[in-house]
Amino acid sequence: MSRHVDALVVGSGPGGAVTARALAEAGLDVLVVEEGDWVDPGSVEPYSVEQMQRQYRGGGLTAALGRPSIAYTEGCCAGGGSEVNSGLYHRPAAQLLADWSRAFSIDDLTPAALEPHSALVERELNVSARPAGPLPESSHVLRRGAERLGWTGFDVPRWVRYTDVDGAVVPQRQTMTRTYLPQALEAGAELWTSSRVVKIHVDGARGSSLDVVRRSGGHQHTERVSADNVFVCAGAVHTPALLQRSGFRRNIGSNLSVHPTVKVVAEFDSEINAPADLPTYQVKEFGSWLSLGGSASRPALIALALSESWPDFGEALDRWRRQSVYYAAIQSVGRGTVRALPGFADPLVTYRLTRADAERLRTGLARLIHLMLAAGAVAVYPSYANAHRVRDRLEAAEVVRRFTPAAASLMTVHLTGTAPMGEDTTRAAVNSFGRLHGLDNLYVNDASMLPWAPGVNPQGTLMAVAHRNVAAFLAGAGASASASASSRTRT
Amino acid sequence: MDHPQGGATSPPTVVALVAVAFLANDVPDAQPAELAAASQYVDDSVAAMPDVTRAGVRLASGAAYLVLSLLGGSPYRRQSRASRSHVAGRVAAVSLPVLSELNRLSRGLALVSIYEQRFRNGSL
Repeated sequence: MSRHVDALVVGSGPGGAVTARALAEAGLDVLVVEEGDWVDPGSVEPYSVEQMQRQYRGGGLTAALGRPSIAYTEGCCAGGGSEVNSGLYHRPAAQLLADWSRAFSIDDLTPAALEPHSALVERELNVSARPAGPLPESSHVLRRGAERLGWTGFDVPRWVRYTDVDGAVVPQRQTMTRTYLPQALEAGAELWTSSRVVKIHVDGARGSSLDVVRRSGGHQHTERVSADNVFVCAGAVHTPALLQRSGFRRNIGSNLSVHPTVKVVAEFDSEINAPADLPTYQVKEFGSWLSLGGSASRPALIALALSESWPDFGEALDRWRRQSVYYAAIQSVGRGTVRALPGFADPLVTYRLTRADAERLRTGLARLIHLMLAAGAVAVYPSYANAHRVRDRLEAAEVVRRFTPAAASLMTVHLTGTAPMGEDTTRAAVNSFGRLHGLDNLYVNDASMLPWAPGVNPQGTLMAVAHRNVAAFLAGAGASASASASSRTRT
Repeated sequence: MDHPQGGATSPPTVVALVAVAFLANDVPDAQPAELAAASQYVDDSVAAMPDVTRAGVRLASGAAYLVLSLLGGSPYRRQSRASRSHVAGRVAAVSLPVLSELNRLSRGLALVSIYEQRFRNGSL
């Protein structure tokens, strides 16, 4: 006999966790289906190979194919991307919301409409600035360079709780497995981990049924679950793939937007490397189209960044304690696609950089090297094939001149846009509140619905919009408690 | 068959063989146990890759294996370590669309494994 629930949430990342908690607290019978495993918070070293294997999709080896291909990472575990990302928090900018609303005809997506939801997210995740005191060296490098150049930047607030351990400030990220998911379970939601929804069968007003493959002890079996409402929150790659496998294709999977990123390893004359954390200072001098910041820098990741020119750069790794990885991330004009392929579990992901993107990346690389040299770097190692080490501005100019995106190891996070929201049905897959156009009981509530990558870490924006959407659903569905009431109970 | 230079676990795939060939050239002081662990890590990682990427990496490694064998004058598995390292250096320097990109991926995995091992055991 198949199981029936009021609401089934596919995915337990920031979108799914927000959705599940709100629905469960409103009294609905909620089942959350998560493809990855539950990994206890703090049980794996951040940015380690073990974390890549246990918490990233495909071991962190996923790529959007193109010229060049762009490596991307996605969380695949309970809590999704929140378990593996930097924890940097940004409220959505008013201009961004206006641009999205205009481009896709989105109703009621204003700063005022999102304000209570953003405030709730900030309280729940303890979004806070770093306690007073010196920045970690890897962050201080960015600030020092920015100050010397007169560029704008700031230490980005994070969703963390800072604790003092032997005089050191230690951040504990407030991931979904520490916050929303336990609260959803406390409110009565059920979570199936190691379980994958392979297809949704929509059956009109009677709801939907879903084929769920569950893994356990090396075996797997398929269960059929029916639900009055389905919320697909599987991320910007697997949400469109699931919808396509289920027969929904209109405006789904064709608007993938990312932040292509080029990296360098910068070396200083004193120790700066912090293997267990990453720099949180970001340079924002150039608006949303270009961000300069720092990445995780365990030695293995420095080796990876140096590997494009390994014969010349490999020896530098001996000095890894004086090095850290820094990036220039752009807002891309190009777009990509996600296509479910018959017979394959994973979709084909492609991305096409435009000439404008290539020029932005080149400019980003130039400004990043300039920033590092201004900060006092003794050497900068650009991460592209056959690059040369940079020690001064003259060498920087030559390295930038030789740069082509095709030679670079581009990577990205922050995938969005593959089921965009809005009332413009020629472009949008879901309506202004996440409901699939033309259907009554199928919703998207994750980064897929954000029209394009916002130029900053989108988790804060996504969570606020997800709160807004599930509130609208509950209000419209006449559930036992409206989402605004749900929000109020936590005010 | 043993993994390259060491551990008696499952036989390495062609992808692992090629990745370790590059590694022997990239990190000449890599120890047999490190290479064996890297080989296992590459195989595990390839198994976890998305279908399309995995298929591409296997294809690219197969092509690289053929070239390694041709340049070395005998099947790669029968070549000496010095010969392997020499020809791997030549192959690594070649830049071909897509194929080189995919081989860089498996080569990067092997590097990650070596330096993660060294970081964890404090030998860096």
